[in-house]
Amino acid sequence: MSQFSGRIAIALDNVAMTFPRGTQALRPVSLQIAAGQFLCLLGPSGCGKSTLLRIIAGLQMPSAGEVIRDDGAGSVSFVFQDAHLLPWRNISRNVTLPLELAGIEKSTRRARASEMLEQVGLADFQRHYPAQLSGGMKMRASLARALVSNPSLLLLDEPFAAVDEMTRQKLDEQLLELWRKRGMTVIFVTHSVAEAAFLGQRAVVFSPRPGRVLLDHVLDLPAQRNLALRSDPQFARECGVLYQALEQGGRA
Amino acid sequence: MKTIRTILPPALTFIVVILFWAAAKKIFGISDFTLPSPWQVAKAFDRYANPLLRATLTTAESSLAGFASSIAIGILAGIILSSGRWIERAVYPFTIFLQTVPLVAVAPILVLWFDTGFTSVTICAFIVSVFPVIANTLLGMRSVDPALHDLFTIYRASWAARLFKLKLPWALPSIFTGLRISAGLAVIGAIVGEFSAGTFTNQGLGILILSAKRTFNMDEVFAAVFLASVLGLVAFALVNIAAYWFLGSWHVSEQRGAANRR
Repeated sequence: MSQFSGRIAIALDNVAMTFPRGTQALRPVSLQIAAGQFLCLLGPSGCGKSTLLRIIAGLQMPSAGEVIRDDGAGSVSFVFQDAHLLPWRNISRNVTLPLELAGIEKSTRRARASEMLEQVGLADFQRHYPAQLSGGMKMRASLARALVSNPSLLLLDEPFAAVDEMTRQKLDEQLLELWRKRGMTVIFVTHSVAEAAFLGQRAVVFSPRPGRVLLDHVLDLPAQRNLALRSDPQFARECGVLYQALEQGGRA
Repeated sequence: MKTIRTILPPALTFIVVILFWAAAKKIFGISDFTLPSPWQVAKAFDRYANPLLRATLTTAESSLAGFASSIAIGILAGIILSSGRWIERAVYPFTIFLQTVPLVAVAPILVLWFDTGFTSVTICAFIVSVFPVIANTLLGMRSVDPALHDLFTIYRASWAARLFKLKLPWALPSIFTGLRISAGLAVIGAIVGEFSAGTFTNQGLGILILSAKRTFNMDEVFAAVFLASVLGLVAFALVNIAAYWFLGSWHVSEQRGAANRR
């Protein structure tokens, strides 16, 4: 498939991480991620995939190698494992936070926040406080906060791990829809094979710690992803490919 | 109905304590000098109404001024200390000094510097009440969710934005814990301060207790002690009202029915 012939958004050049105390989290990784690609990083817990994401976000310096970002002045957003909303702000004011920190004026940020909340189905909850919302709703608010700044790069670190299966499926579909509309580059960290196959155009499979790339696989699945895809034989085959890579890494 | 439910239990406790007090005095034959009866103390409020009221106001002034200084200086110190591990290591041990220094030993020095009266007593109230504010502000600012720090880093938040939009609001519940402790301490500090740094011309409760004891007016002493604790309660209540004002809309500790969710 040559669908990724476009511009390279991020290039990882032998990025590796060894913590000061000597724990090696990540063996040298080199990857090129095309602008607008939806990439899933798949691996067992503690394999360093989250560390890699933090390095890409600029939250951590790699101990070796470098990250080259080539998507202009585009902003980055990060979605954590839990919603991590500010409990003293209502949902609307949580979503406006990135705009506020960027110095955008009040009326503009209000308008953009309510548009964003509309898109994730939280229009009626703008004045609610995080403590009044369910886990899934908080996660959607977190997603809205990440997208309100119109990032060119969206990083997600096992974002829906804490919600139930049904909610997770809905959130996955919602995320795909938002990605299709906006076309930002997405890097999605997960330990779920099915989630990686369902969401990604491409999946990179990591070995247990210290992580290294076992498989860099372009998923051969239709662009339109929905619930029916989950029972498609082709989906099962692609999951099988990813499982196999994971299993090999586990034995090594 | 709701007011009855909130007022009735403490009122019952109060009546039971008064009854025990009166009964103990009767049964053990305790003299009026050692322990005046509840009735005698009640009458003292009427007989010494004027001096008691003025003394209460004098003490209230110094304790409030001391408490207010504790809030302002304590929170500021907490912010400064939390700005870096290095400055915390350099300065924090000396703030503990405020906690350990015996007030009665410092009071004479204060009298030497500022003479007896309002300034010295206020400083006493401040010394006793500032440490819990510093310690709890520091604790709150240090315990900010690391993911939220990451969030602010990703959006390139300025130093000021991080302080006012993240660290301070996050620390607020913890700061109020400090204020609840130090509200009562400020009153204690003022009264103990008055013992050695108060004036007789404009006497506070501390001086009034000393002089009433000297003239064997034990009913007046008890009335003054009662007023001193009421003063502490009022300060505590003021902090609770402020806490509700600031945290009521979002923090679990102030949500309706929080006490029932044990």
